[in-house]
Amino acid sequence: MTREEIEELNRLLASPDGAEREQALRSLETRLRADEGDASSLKPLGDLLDDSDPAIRRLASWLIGKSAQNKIAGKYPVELLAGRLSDTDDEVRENSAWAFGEMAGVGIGDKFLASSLSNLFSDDAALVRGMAAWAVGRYAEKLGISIPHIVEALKGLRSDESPMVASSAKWALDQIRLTGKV
Amino acid sequence: MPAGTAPKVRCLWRADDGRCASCKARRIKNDVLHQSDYEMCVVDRDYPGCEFYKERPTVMNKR
Repeated sequence: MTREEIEELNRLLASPDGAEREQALRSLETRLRADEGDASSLKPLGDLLDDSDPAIRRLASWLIGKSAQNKIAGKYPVELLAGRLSDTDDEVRENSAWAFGEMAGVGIGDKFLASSLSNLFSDDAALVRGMAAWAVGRYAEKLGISIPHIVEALKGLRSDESPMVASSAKWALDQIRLTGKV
Repeated sequence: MPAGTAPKVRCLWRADDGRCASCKARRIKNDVLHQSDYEMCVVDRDYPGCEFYKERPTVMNKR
């Protein structure tokens, strides 16, 4: 992917035309799945996290997570993404939790964000609870972060009605134990 | 037909070569569930219990 192609894609991400923005997001998705792209798209993606269309917010939050999974180093829209942890859309909250878990792999995260993620342990959507549990596990695994009240909340999640949530909580507790902070 | 017994069609996230194309599902399958073949999806085994399963949307043919 050439510099010109990336710049054009970033320009379209900021287009006032909704269809053009969505097309640019889909194109960037294809690029990132092929492990292409760079940190210059993080800013326009962050701006789209406040879009009124939930489909756009889903894509933008997913692409930020995928960028982190691809180990793209750069300035991530942490505050904007933290705001999406309370989005009205289930998938946006799930994607945001996933993105924070992936960002831990590039050294981004702190105790405040870990607490924000733990607020999702009581989310109505099982996918959100499970992803939040996985993400705090990543904070322990990658950043050595664990907080006593999170540990207690994770212990409660081990008996969640969703097997995926319960498994994620057990995995997160294992990661915290490995840090030696329990 | 009860919703739980309805036949499922091909998963949105299943790639043509059988791999799971959902980055989120692969994370959970690898990290949390410790599946050695976390990239691969077997319909009978994986679809019923996959929380990330999504049915592939029907694409309208353009004339």
